[in-house]
Amino acid sequence: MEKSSPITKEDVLKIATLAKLSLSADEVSLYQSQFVKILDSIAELSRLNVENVPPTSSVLGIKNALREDQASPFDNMNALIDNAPEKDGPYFKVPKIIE
Amino acid sequence: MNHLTSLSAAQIAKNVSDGSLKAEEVAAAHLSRIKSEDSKVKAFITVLEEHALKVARQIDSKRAQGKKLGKLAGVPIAIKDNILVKGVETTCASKILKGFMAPYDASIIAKLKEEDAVIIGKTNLDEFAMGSSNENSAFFKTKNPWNLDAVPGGSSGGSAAAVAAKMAPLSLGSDTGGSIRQPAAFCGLVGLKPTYGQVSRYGLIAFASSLDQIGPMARSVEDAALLLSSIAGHDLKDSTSSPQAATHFSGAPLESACGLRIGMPREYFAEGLDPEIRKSVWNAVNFLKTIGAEVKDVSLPHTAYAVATYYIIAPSEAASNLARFDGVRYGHRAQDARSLSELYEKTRGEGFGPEVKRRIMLGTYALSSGYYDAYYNQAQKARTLIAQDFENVFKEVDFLATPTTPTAAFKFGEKSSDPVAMYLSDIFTIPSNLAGNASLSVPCGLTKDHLPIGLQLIAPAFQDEKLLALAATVEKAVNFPQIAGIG
Repeated sequence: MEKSSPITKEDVLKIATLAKLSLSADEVSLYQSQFVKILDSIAELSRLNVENVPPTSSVLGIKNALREDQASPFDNMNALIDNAPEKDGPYFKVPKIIE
Repeated sequence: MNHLTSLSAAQIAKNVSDGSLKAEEVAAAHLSRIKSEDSKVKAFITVLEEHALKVARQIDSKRAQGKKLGKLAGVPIAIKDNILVKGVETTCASKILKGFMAPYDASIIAKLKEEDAVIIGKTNLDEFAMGSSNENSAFFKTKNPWNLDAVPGGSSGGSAAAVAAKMAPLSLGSDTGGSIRQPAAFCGLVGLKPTYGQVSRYGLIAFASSLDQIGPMARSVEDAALLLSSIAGHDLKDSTSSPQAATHFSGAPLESACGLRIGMPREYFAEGLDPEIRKSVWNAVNFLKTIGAEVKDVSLPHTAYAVATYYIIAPSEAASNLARFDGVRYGHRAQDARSLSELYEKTRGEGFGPEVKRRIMLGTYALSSGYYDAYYNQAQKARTLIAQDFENVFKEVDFLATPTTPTAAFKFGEKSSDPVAMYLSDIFTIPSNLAGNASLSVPCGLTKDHLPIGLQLIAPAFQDEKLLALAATVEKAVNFPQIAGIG
């Protein structure tokens, strides 16, 4: 994160692919210009000396939250399936994945 | 205005419990207030009229049978629409979740039901809680009841407006970078972001899991404490909820502030702070001085890095959390996708609004190969330094007093085209989320344009009870007028 490198349209499209987002041409232009501004505004962070500073992983310092591994049945299975945009009996329906 | 809608939550609970008031009358009065006012304010996405009246009648008959009622007996409560209430649509104010019926109750909703609260509706928010003005809702913009041309703040703007306009005495919000405190300040309310881990997040649709915390919004500290007492506590279903979480908060004011040390972090009073806000905050602090508090100038030297740190960490967590909205199991699904990948891309492209897409993109970028160390890891290290600033300063003082926001409520459209300007409106509230401490906004005055000003008080982690006591002390001195413009 040195002096923020200009973000190109190709960069925006690559990020959108990684994020699984389809964007219109207008959105690509908008995000390109806004990304440059946003990255500029956060560039100061790269100048902060963080040598020997550990990254935060939990603000409470909780490492592992353990509990008994007890099964508790969920009583509203149908409601889960009913939320699906397409279903087949108790299954979620998706386009064919394997040819 | 019906007097029942001016009652405090504590008063309603007391009167419903002792039989001098019917829960049904209380619910009906608030529903009627929603009917007359919400066409102007637009706080609610869903109003649960039948459900609220039915639950209220059940509470009345429970009492008639001689059973003891809960802490929130008959108290109407509005719930931010990113918290699951079983059988009720939960949208996050996003097209991608339109029609999603919650299959279970959030842990805190189950608790509210046990305490005999009456859930009256689901409130508007910036889509997926990303925003500071409610202008990012995919459905409509909530107005500030003090001035309908001004934003109510965000992202819990609907929850703030509902309580300020007396459509409910209490509401729940969620706070990731100020989303409870900033709208509370803009709408003249008490809004608390509890210590991280104090309140279960199970059933809150996650935005940035390491920062999100649910908290109360109310017209008084006493009511905020009552609601916190009803929802706080350790929950096995949320592995980040703390075994240290307390379950009772009184909200009673201090008799004296003798021996209390209040820090004024100089970074929060720099240039750009509205002079009216500076003056109101100092008035409140000077009052604490007169009752014995010691006021000290202190420094949180890494404050300037907080917004940048937040705008790397929060979008990174959001990019990961929002991966679940893919059109397979719930919500919107794009038509005519020829492959699974296309289904994901089109569904998400159509379903998410501009700010949500912007943050998913930003987070994806910060986490991507080649940038992870420079952005995400750097930000998590900066976060450690920001948290250490608070640890250090809390060796010198018991609380910090700051403005909640740099300005009072701004007008619609004023910042909506410039994401960076909008991000800076959370400059004073973000650090507490990064550090995980307890933080609240309490009204401390009005601007000459008759808009509320919020005083932010910050306490070390798990000092929520003491924080509420200090806020109650300020509240008593300020005697803030409960007269939102539409009233």
